[in-house]
Amino acid sequence: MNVRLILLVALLSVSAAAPAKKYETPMPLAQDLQVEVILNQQELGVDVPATASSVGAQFGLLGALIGATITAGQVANAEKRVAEIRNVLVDYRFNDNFERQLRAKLASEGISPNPQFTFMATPWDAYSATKAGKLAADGVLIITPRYSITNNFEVLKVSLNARFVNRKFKPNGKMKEKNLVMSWYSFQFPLTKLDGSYATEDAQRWIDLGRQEMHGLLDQGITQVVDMMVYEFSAEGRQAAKTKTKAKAKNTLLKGKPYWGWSLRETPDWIWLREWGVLGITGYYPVDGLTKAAGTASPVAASAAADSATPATDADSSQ
Amino acid sequence: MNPGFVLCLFAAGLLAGCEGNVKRVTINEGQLVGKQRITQIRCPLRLKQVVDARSTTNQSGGLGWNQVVLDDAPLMVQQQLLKAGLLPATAAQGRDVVVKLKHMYMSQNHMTKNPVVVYEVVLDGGEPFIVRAQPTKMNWNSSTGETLSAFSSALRQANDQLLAALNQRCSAVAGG
Repeated sequence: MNVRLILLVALLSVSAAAPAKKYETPMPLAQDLQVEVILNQQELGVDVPATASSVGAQFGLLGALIGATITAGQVANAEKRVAEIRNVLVDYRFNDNFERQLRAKLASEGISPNPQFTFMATPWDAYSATKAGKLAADGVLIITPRYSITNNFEVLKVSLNARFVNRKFKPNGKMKEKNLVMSWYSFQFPLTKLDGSYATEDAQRWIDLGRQEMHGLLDQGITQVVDMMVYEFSAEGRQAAKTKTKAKAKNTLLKGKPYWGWSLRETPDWIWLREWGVLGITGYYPVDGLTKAAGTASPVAASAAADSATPATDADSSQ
Repeated sequence: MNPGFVLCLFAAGLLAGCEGNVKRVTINEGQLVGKQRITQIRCPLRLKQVVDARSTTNQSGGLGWNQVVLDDAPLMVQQQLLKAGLLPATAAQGRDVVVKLKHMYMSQNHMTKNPVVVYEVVLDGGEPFIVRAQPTKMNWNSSTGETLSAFSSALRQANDQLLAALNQRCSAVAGG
């Protein structure tokens, strides 16, 4: 998004709320389901809330500009802090691991016995391909994965957005997509809160976990979000979604901390919940972040550009 | 970049009252904006090899409707580093430098543009070290010029950092 677009949004006050319409999701979604996977990351993302921009936009053009500037400052700080964590993950192959999990698990009773995958390297490729009219169809499952850390460095997460759409092309060539189902699946690793530990200290705690541990967490996140999606469309998941509103949301304790929602799965290490206002499933796996993983290289200070030239944690490692 | 961006890519066209067209911005050495700074090297250093160790193809993210495609990234980096002061691989003497390209891409985060260049560097078969440049700047217009300028800036920063780190290692050897 750019500044011009932000200003344009500030000028427009159009509400595009769509009326809710009951849609009965087919079981399975399709026999030979067309599945498009849009890979859009090369490294760990950092999530910065757009609070300043949103608030600023309510005060006209000047407010929008001020809000945008504040958010840009927050992003710059977050990007600077995340650099060392990205160095720990420099050889992590998120997209490859995600593709492997998806190919292994998506063929299922609720989704499709014979899914037809198209993996797109970037959103630009996806847009160009659909605009060229190559992929018009009814009932396309579009999957967009993401891995990121919050800008306060308290939560690492893997998420997955799934959209089941009907895609048409108008006579003038313009594409029209109707969302039949849209869900978010997110598996989060909240770092145990320590007194006096803020963004900088928490970022260091992730770095201290080391390469192996961080790779393991992200692998687990990928497995979990794919499992969530498969569960959601299964007979069991569909039944649970229909009946969830009959029960009351409640606190579920995990490692002494309460998590509010409708519990779907519970283990001593992690839980799955349906949360109020979230279309999909959220999982939590609290991370201690107190012990340094064995075999992790320590940062070496001997560098002319200490902020940017640091030793590799593990050369030539691969997934 | 977040999943919302995928939707934003579509929304951007709608808000502007027109459908956008993806523009492939192919970057090679000739397209880089600005000049690579020449660094005084403290000991002879030969650029033995630039290895493409990226997990992706030449698809390297983008900015707005501009999709960045790198045309022979190893050659581009090699040419820039030779301009910056490293000696060619065929030089009679010098310590050997091997540069592995780990990541080279352009991303967006809200209204900022974030070009990223990451090398893993080995000097004389020693311990590898990482060089990372990712200058975050306000994204004003998502223009092609902005894209080229931001990417060029990240590449120059990475090269400056690399030479500073190598110089420091030269000093460490000279000092004992």
